[in-house]
Amino acid sequence: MLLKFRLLIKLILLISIMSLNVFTQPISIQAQPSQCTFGEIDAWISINGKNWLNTTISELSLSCGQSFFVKAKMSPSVDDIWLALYLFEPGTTSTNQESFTVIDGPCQLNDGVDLGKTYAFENKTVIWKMKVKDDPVWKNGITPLSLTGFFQKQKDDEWITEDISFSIAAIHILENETISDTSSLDSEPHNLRFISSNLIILPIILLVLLGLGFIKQKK
Amino acid sequence: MNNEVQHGMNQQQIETLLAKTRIDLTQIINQAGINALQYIGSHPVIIPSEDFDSAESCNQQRLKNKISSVLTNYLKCNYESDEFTQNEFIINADFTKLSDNRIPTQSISIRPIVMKLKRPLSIPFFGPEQEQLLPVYYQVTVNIPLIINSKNAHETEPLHSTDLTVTTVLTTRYLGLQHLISSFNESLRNLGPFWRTMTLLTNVYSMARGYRHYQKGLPQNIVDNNHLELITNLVLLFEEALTFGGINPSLLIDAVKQTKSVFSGENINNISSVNSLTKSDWMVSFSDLKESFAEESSTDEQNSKQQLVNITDIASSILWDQTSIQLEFINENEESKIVTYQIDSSKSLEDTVKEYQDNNWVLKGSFKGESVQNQSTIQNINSIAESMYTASFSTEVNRKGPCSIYEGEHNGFPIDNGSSSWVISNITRMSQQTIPEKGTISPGTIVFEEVYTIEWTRSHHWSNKTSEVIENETVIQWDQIIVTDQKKEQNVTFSIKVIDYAEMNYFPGDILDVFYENISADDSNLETTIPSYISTVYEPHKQELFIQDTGTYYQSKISETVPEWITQHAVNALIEIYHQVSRITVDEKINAMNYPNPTELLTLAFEDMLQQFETNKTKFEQKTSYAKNDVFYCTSDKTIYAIRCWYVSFLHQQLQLLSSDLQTDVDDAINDALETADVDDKAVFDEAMNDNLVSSFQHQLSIPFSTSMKLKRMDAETKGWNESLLLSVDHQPAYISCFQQETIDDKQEYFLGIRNTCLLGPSGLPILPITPTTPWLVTLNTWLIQIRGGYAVFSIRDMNDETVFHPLFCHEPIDFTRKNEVIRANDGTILGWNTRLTFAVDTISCSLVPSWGCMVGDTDGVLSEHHGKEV
Repeated sequence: MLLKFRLLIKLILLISIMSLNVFTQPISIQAQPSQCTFGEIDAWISINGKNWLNTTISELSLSCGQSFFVKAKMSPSVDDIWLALYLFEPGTTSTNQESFTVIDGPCQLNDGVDLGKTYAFENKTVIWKMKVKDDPVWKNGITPLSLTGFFQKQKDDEWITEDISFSIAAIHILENETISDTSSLDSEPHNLRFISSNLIILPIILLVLLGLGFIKQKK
Repeated sequence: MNNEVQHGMNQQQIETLLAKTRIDLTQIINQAGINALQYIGSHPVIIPSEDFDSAESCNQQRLKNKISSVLTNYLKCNYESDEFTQNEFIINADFTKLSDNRIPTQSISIRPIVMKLKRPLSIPFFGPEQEQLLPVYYQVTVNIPLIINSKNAHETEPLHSTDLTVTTVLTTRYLGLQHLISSFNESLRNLGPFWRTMTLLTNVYSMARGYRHYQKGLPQNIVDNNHLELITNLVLLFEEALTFGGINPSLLIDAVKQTKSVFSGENINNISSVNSLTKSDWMVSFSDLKESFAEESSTDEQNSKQQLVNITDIASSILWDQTSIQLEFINENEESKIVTYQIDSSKSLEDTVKEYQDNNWVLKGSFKGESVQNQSTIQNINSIAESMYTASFSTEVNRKGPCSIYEGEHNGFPIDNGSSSWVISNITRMSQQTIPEKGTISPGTIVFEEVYTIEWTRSHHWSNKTSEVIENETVIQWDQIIVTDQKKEQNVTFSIKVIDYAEMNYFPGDILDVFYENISADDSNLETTIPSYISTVYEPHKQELFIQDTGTYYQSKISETVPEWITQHAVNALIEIYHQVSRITVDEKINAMNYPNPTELLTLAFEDMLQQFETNKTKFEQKTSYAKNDVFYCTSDKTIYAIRCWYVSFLHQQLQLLSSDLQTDVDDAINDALETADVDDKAVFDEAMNDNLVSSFQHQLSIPFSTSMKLKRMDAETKGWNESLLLSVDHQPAYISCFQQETIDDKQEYFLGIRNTCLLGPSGLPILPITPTTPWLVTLNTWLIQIRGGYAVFSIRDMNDETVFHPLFCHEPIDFTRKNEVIRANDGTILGWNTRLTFAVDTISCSLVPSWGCMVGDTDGVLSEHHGKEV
C-alpha cells in the first residue's frame, strides 16, 4: 500500500514537472505596431526568412558571419502619404564601424529607401537580407539595429513629417560560435530557448530517479 | 542745351527708379531667403542624393529654388503690368529674357560670409578653439532683367534695358548654426576633444579606483559602466558648453540626479526634462467647463479624468435625465451655500445665479444634482422588447386534392335545368398536424395543418319534354324532377404558416426553439403565439375557410407577453455599455498644445473618439454572449442584444451629430469674434493657429542656459560689424543611458552603447624586474573603453535672431536640427537625408599600482562589461 502511494506521488510529481515544461515552451509575443497620426509601422527579424519575431527583441544572439532577415511594414491610415524608411546602426557612420552588411535589400545600412506615394491602408513591406560581418568592431558586444519610418504629407511647399524610430533588436554578436540549427532560434527568443532547454532536463532526472526507486523497491 | 538737361533729368529719374526697385527686390529676396533658411534649418540635408555633390550644394539649391519661386511670383504680380513707376517712367521685368518665365536658379549666386566667433570660455586641447572662423550668413546675388519705358511714349523699343544686380545678406545665422553643429559633431568623433576629455577622465577614474582596489580589494569592478555612462554624459555636457557657450539644462539636471544616484546607490527612473516639456502638462481641457450629470458616472474612475470631449456625458444623457443642478455660492466671509436648481423650474438658471450674485454671492462651482431614468429610453426598450416578442402568421388554403361529383338519378329527364349552389353536407377531418418538433421552425415553416374531406350537395333540376297532338293541336308537356347531386372534395388543407418572428426581416438572427418555452432562461419565447393565432384567428374563421378558394388568408401579428424582468436586464446591459464607453479617452497627443486651432482640435478629438468607438463596437454589442453561429439562445437574448445595438447605434449617431454641431458652433464663435475685431479674412486666423504655432511656442519657451558669443566681421570694408550670438541647446534624450531604453508603444529604442573590457585580466600585469624590496616594480592593468551613441533629436536655436516674423510672437528664433529625416522636393523626389548626431570613441584607460597589496583588475568575474551586463 505504501509502495503504491509513493509511486502515485512520484507520478504526480513527474506529470507536474512535465506540464511545467509544456507551459514554459517559448511563445513568440506579438507586439503592437508603433503608431502616428498618418499610420503605423512594424518590423520583424528572422533567421531563415520564414519565422519572424516581432520587434523589439531585447537580446538576440547572432554569430559572426551569420545571415538574418529584417522585415518592415508601413501602413498609412490616410491618403496621399509618402513613405520612406531609414535603416541604421546607432552610433555608426562609417562602414568600418558597422557590425552588419546588407546582402540584399532596398538600401544599405545607414541609408534610406523611398517607398513613394501611397493611399490609406495600402501597406508597403520591405525585406532586407543582412549578415553580421565576419569580423565586426563591436564583436562580443550588444549592438542595436534600428529603423526610422517616415510618413510625409505635402502641404503647400512644405512637408509635414511624422516619424517613428525604434530598435528592431539589440543583437549580441557572438565571436566564434556558430549556430547550426537555425530553425530553433528563429521561432523563439534566445532567453526563452535557454529556459526550455534547461527545464527539459528535469523530467529526465525524475524519470531516472523513478527507475532507481523501482529497482530499490524490487530489491 | 535743353535736350541735354532733359536727358540728364531722365537719367536721374531712371537711376532713382532702379534704386527703388533694388530696395524693393532686396527686401523680397531677403524675406524669401530667411523663410527658406528657417525651413531648411529645421530640415537640413546632411546626406545628399546622387544628384548633388555635397549637402551644402543641395541645401543651397533648395534656397535658390525658393528665392527663384518667390521672386518670380513677385515680379509677375508687381513688375509685369506697369505697376511700378517713377514720374513718367515705368519699370517692368523683362520676361522675354527669362526662360520658362521664371528667374533661373543659375542667375542666383550664393556666397558665405565668414565671421570670427569668439567663445566666452575655452580650454585648449579639450574643447574647440576660443576663436574660430565661421561662415555665418549667406550673401545672395540675383541678376534680374528689367526694362524701363516712358509712360507717354508709344515706342515698341524700350527706353532702357538692364540686368539689375540685387545683392543682399540673408539676415539669419543659419549657416553659423549649421557649422557649429558640424564642428560639434566632428569633436565627438575620432581623436577630437570628446575623445581627449574622455581619455583623461577615464584614466583619472581608473587610476583612482585602481588605487582604492589596491588598498582595500574593493571595488571589485574597477571600471564600471554605470560610472562610464555618467562620465560620458558629463563630457558631452562639457563639450556642449565649450562649443555652443551653453548647455541643455535638462542634461545638467539629469546629470546631477544621476551623480547623486551613482554615489548614493538609489535608482532614478524619472529623469526630468526642462526644455522638452511633457505635452500632457499643457493639456487644456474644455471639459473643465462641464460636469458629468450621470448618477452612475460618479462611481466611474475614468469620469473623474477631465477630457477634451467627454463621451460619458453623451452616453449618460441617453440613460438618465438630470432633474437638478447643485450650485455652490460663496460670499465675502468665505461662507458657502449650496443651492439646488430644478431644471424644470420656471426661473432660468441665469436668473437664479444672477439673483444670488445681486446678494453678494459668487458662483464657485456647479455639480450634478439628482437624476432619474430617461423615460423615453425605457419606452424604447419596451418597444423593442414588444416587437421582438411578436410573430406573424397567415393561413393558407389548398384545394388541390381529387374532387368527384356524383349526379342524382335523372333517367328520363335529359334536359338540365340548372342546379343550386353546392352546400356543405359533411366535413370529415382526415388529419391534423400540430406544432413541429424543435429545431425545424423558421420563417415560412408550416406550424399547424389540418386536412379535410368535404362533402357537398346541391339540388339539380332536370326535365323531360313530351309532345302530343290532340285535335290537330300539338300539346307539349314538361315533366320535371329534382335530384340531389353529391360532390366529394378530398385533401382540403388549411395550413398556418409563420411569416416572421422576432423581427427577423429587420433584425436578422434566428432564435433557438423559438416557439417553445426556455425554462432555464425563464423565457416563454413565442410559445403562446401559435395557439393564440389558432384560437383567436384561425378557429373563428375556419368555417369561412371551407368555402374559400386556394390562397392565403388572415395574416395577423400575435404578441407574446414580454417577461417582466427583461426591462431591468436591458437597463443593466446598457449601464454596462455605458461604463465601457466611459473608458474611451481622447488620445493625449490631441490637445490644445499640439493643435491650437479649436476647429482642428475638435475634429481630431471626435475622429479619434469615433474611431475608438467603432473599433470597440462589437465589444459593446457583445453578440457572442447572446448567440452562437448567428442563432440566439432565446428571445430575451435577442431582445437584449437588439437593445444593446440600438443604444450603441444611437450613441454613435449622437456623437456624429454633436461633432458637427460643436464644430459649427466653434466656427460661428470664431467668425463672430473675427467680425468684431474687423478681420475679414479667416485665413489670417487659420494661418496664425496652424500647427507651426506649437513649434513656435516651444521655441519661445526655450530657456537659453548660455552665455553670448561674439561674432565679428573680418574684412576691412565692414569693420565694426560686431554682434553677439546666444544659443539654446536642446536634445532628446537629454541624458542618454545605456541601461534604460526609450519605450514607445511596444517598441524600445537604444541610444547609447558602452563596453569596457579589462585587457590584462583580474590580476593585471606585474612589471618586472624584481627589486630588492619588492617582487616586481608595479602592477598595470588596462581597460578598452568603447562608447557609441547618438541623439534622436539635437538642435541649437539662435535665441537673439529677430529676423523671422511670426504673427503672434512678432519673431521666432531660427534653429538647426539634426534627426533622422527624409528631405523631398515638391514633386516627391528625395533630395537627401537628415541624420542624427552620433558619436563613437574607443579609448584606453589604465591603472598603475605598487607591488605588494592587491593586484589591480576587475575581480567580480566580469572582464567584458556591456550595458552593465556580462558578455
